[in-house]
Amino acid sequence: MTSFPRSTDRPAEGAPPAAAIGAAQVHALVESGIGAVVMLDGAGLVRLLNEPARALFPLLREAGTLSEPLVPGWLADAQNELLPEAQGVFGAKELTARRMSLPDGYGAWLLDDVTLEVVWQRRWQEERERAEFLARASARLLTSLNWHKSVQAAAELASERMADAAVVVAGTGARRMWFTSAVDGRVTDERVLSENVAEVPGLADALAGFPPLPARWLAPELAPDWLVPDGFGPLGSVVVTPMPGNGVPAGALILLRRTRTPVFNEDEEVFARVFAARAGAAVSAAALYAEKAETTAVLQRSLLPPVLRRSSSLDLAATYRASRATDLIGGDFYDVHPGPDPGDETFLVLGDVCGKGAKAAVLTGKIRNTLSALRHVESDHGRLLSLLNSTLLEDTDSRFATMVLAGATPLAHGDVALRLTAAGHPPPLIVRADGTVEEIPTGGTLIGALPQITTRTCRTVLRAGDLCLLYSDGVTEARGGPDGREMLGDNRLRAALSECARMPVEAVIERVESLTTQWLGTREHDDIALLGIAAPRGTHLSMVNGTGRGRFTG
Amino acid sequence: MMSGNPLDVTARQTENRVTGVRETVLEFSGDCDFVTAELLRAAVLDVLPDLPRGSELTLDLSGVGLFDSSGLSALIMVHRHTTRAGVALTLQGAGDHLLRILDVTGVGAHFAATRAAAAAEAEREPRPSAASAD
Repeated sequence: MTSFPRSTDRPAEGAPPAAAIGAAQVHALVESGIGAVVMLDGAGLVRLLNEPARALFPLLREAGTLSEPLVPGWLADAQNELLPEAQGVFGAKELTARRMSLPDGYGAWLLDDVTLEVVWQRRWQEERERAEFLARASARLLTSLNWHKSVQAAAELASERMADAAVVVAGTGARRMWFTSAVDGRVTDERVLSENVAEVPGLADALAGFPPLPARWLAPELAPDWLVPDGFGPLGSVVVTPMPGNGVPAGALILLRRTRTPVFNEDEEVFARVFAARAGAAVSAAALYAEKAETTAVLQRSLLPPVLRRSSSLDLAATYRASRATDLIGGDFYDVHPGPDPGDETFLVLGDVCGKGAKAAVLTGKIRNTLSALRHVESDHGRLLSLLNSTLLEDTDSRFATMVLAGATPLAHGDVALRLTAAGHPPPLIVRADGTVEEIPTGGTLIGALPQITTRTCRTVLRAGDLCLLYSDGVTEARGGPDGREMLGDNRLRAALSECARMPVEAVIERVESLTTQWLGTREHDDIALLGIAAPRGTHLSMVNGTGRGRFTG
Repeated sequence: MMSGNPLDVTARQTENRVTGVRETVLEFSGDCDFVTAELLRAAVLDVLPDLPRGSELTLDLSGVGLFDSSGLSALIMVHRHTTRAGVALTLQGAGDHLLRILDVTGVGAHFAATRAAAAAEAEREPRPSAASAD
């Protein structure tokens, strides 16, 4: 069949004579597992084809030439130019070819089928690109806790890498769906979805999140027009993927491809699911955060201290600085309830609830509501506090509150009669017009934690230039000063107050507030609440000797 | 909030040689505030099931720096549990600030009243363990 010129007639020099290798052996070697071999003579005619080569190029015959369509064009070209190697596709196969020069103008092509290697390499490259994309997508999805922005990011990212266009349909709460579409990485449309989600097969299921569904291929002709962005062109393929959230589905991702883009394969579908899971987690985290922020805002609005109204019979000023750690939901509170008529007693309370956050806020709300109702049926401070105590007493919680109640009744000549009761709270201070500072000797048990309480109510009269200060321990326990750990303390507060004699009540509150904040410097602080009560200014200063002292009755 | 120092607990057990009453001492050091108050509560609830009625539990607070309203709330809760378990609670080594808090809030008076009531109760029904002590 084939002759092997000069294959065995060269003697081995210097070596002991061995048995000559014949054509049979070489032929067996060529036919064995060394891959496809095509040998050509100097005229370019095929002189030998082994079995693997015949399997690769079934139409190629001995004495033929390497030419299309018997062999791929790139191999024919490589033979014409006598290139050392070449690579290319033939049918579904990926081949590499190496050319060896043989004696007497002969040559041979050794061919390898590298289809698998190339496929794996391509896959690996794709995986790598996907992993990089996912890392980038996660980073971008998590940059914002804003729900709207995270939905936009999901749509933009999906349309940038996975499809020609992407649509995110996500619930906004209130039974409405928000529709966002993006083309080539840019949001093109966003609105409340007025159309019926049932018009997109599989979308309702994906949005319901149960049963958990894989992505779903959709025949393009089944997609309603509203799903396809304007000017998108003919739709080639569509995939609907659920976006699972934290326990509840965050929405659904719909990927759209044009006709000239390849349809989704299984790999891409898995990838879409992975992406949708990440996007879903980000969107639902943003939704939870929005819910929490809304709750905080609602609580804050209901817990903010009242705006003090001007009154002709009483001068009032107050301030409240929430600690930075709790934002506006803090433990301190105050309330002012004027009587029905200008001559009636005004009910005031300043208090401090133990702890912080939502639980403290709930307790604060309870106390303020209970007091504002109970004061109508019980005017005695001691009994009022006992009722409040039994209302708040819980077996499972020892959260408590401390407070000062004050009743201020206008008297003749602009004087003000005060009833004051402290319950577990620093007693109020009175600054007389002459600069004397008095601590009201009221005291009592804190509220809400112990089965029985005792309280002691004190009475005094504020004359012109006198002031009564209700404050929370955030003032006296403010830590700062030279070493940063020292408490402001009663003495510093009293010294500052005695310099405030005859100052308007607003100015005194401001002075105490600035004393505290200066003491704190830049350090963190607890809630600080201040409420000042004074006889009205300007009505009677000329009529009465303003230096008269009030009297206590226990 | 202003904390920084964690709260550490060490437990010691002794027996009073005169009365034979078992005494458990929990020594606390650090800050007792919003963040760490739960540790004080948990430390007591941890040892309480092992303490027989009539025994003594002492909380040594001499190593405690900061003590805020959350700490006081934890003390009140702890006191409720010890009272229910018939265990006498004693606070030891409380600093000026804590003493003032206990005074202003009436909690100190409440603890003292509970203790006096329990002592009066014990007087009426002498415990066998106390009677048999040498």
